[in-house]
Amino acid sequence: MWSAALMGTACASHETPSFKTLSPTQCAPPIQAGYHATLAADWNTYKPYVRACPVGVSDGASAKLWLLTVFAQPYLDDHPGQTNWPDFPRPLLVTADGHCVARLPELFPFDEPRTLRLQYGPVVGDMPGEIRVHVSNPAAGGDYELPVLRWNPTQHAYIAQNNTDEYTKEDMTCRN
Amino acid sequence: MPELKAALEAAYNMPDSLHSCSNFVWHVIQAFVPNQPYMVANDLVRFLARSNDWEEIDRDDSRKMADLAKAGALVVGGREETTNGHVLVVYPGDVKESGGYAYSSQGKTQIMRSHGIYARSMSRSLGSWPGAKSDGDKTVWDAWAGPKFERVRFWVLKSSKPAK
Repeated sequence: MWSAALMGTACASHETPSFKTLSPTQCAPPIQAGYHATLAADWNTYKPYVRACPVGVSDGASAKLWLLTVFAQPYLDDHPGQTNWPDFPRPLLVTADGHCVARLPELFPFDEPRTLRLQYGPVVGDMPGEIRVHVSNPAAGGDYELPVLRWNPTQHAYIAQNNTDEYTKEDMTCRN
Repeated sequence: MPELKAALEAAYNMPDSLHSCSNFVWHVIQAFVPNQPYMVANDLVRFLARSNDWEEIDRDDSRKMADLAKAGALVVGGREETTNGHVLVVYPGDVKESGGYAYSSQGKTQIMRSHGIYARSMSRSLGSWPGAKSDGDKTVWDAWAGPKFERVRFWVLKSSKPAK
């Protein structure tokens, strides 16, 4: 099983040069954050808990890239009787005009019982060249990294850098 | 063949099983296969995958796993890791909702929600994750409790399967 020492190391906050860490405190309800594109119908159930997080060179309303995600913890806090994990939509990376450029397989920042740390950089044009996600996992098997997403300007999308099941599932379709 | 539940309970209470998934599973297998050597979890998973005495069964068919265990068959599940893997045994009983146990996250105590219906498990663990410690009250999913379960594999000991 994992060791406490490893967990401690994995959970330590550190910035790789030219990479920035997305803090959940940077996320806000879309309109409040400055993200104005329309959300797909399957997000409506969780609308009060949807957050838009600026990812990239510019912060706030001028951000070119956004992470749209459901904050599961406040949803669960407001629904204490819910014993089944809801079928939350998976997070989307979208441009400011609402164009989906990638989908994450797990909720940021909390996907029971795991917590995600997202880092991005270095900038290529207006877009972060890479998205890296570290998953702190208290269950068997311990922490892991999601496949690195690399910006492909030709495809105008982030492409997973190794072939894993997580990025080939049907519900990983990039749509919003 | 030994009675599965009795073999599980004896192995579960062995002193060297208390904090070791691999010791626990080893003792269970020994009840059925007395000359089974001890292997750490990663080695046991590799052994089961190549052994002709074991037959792989569908991870997503928890009802079949539960039925096999209820009929007295020994079903072992596990997953390799780059460090330490984890192994467990399917507990004889009806399938149940996963979750329902307390765990700590972000400084607060949460009750794990159900992520589906699975076969029950029996397992010990060196780690602190409550889902990996089960005397039949958790499911096979709860040990991994997430995407890692999608690479867990299960095998039934052929000689323990019920006659058709």
